[in-house]
Amino acid sequence: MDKDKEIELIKLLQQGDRIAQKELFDKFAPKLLAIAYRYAGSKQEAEDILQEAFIKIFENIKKFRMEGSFEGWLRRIVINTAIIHYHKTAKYRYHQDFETIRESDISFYKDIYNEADFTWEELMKVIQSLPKGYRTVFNLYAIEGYKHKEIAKMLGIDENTSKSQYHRAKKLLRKKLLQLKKIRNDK
Amino acid sequence: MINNIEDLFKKKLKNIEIQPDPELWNKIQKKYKRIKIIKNSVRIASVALFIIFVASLFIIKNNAASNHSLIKQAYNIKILVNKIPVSKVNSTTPDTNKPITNNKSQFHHKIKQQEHLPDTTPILTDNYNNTVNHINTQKNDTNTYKRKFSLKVEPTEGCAPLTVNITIEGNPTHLFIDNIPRALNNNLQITLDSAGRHIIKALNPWHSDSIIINVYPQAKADFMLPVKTIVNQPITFKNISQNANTFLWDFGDGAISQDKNPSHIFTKEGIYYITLIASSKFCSDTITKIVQISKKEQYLLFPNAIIPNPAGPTGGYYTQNNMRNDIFYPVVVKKPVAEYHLKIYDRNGNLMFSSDNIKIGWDGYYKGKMVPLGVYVYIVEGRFKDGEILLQKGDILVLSRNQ
Repeated sequence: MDKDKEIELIKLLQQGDRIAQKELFDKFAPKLLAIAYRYAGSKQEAEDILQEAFIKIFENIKKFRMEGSFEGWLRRIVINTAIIHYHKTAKYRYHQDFETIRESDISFYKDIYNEADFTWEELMKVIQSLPKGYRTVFNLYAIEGYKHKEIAKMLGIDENTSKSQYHRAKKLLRKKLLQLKKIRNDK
Repeated sequence: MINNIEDLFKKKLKNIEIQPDPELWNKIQKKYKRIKIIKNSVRIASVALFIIFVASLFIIKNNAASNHSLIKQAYNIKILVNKIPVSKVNSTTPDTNKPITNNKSQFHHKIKQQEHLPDTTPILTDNYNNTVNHINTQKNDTNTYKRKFSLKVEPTEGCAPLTVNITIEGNPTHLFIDNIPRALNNNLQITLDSAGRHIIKALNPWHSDSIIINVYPQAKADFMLPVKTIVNQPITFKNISQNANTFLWDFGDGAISQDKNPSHIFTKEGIYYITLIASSKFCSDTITKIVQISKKEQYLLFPNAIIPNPAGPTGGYYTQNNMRNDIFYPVVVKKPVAEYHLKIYDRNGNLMFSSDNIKIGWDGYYKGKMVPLGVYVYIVEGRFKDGEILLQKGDILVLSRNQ
């Protein structure tokens, strides 16, 4: 989308134009849903997050001052909504299976992957299978690129908790990717 | 080649797209609309609250200003109480406007202290006289719509069920009793059955008045009869009255008491009517119970008549459930007896029979012959096993079986 069209769309949105809202949804929903998907444990939850995010976008579009990337702004709203969701289900934050905590035999395994080894659907499934706390921290740190200090503030947890959760998430991911690879090799 | 797990996920997941469910847009629209409606109503409500706030400030300010004209205010109260027609008021007060003509409308505001609720804050009312031809029962003011009215309730407290008279003067449009609308009537009599606070409220669009009626629960007098009712021993009556706090006891022998649980000594045996009046501030109830006061408690109970066996003396041996009633013996023994001496005399004082054994009674024979029919006297002396002395006297009637 070129810049002029985008500015026009935002202006229409700021006036509360229905057609503009639909256009925004058609254009950005797939991308934003993909983000919500990474944070959510299920499709249902992802769509809930997206719904709330879009309502926030419509309500707060007047505050957008045409500075910085519009898409970035949209992404940030989705991530914030996902974090609010994370807080809502915070009682499950410390729920971890023993299996996920156990040190596994893959600690010596070297991280060497080919981009073609996995499809994005597989990776998405792996990420979604993580416990909620791990998943959120991993998304924020590894993919969105926030620092642990920022993550700790956002999630209301200790910085060290963020770090340890991230490491555990990574270990778990390695294990799961290895399993995925093994299954494929066996076939 | 990627040698970092973060990079793998970043590259693969950063720019993917997932097509949402086509229904999702509809859902978002619906939810957005709902939220908008809620927000708007909240906005309206807050504006309304603000207006009320400003209005109340205005009233407070007016109230302060009116404190200067206390005399005026007092005069207004008088108007309300006496129900002087408005036109008269105007003609006698130089500072108000000239007498009202039918063609002109005029407003004049007054601060009025409500007569029934002296503690409440003054309420802003106004006297509004206009040209509307209102069907008014008062002859002098056929064209004047009277906004004020008075509500009187008599009595305002009492005992349930309470019958109250409601008198309304003026023109309220609605009457509520405990928030239930009632048909308007200038003189209304209602009965409030349940105890508690009842609110009678009359209102029209300009004025409202309410009166609280306290209905107290009906008192119920009751007491428990004492177990031991013996002469010259204190007898305590247990009060089980409800909804009462003052009590008056009449023991039937001339004595009264105001205690809740009184204790009384009866000096003579007999039947007494015990009356208790239990009352609270408004309610009272009376109950009367009969109590029989007897002599010292008798542990042995003897029959008051026997029918001797005509066949001949039996020796006085008896079994406990003797149905023929031909032997005189203690039918009921409440306390074990250690020593027992029974003596029976005739009316001349001759000893007819004596026994030192409780197991042997009198068969109604004297020296082998049945005694003449009539009244005989018995005396039992002795001791119970717990040391108490046994002394009982009484009379026996000797009868013959009607054959």
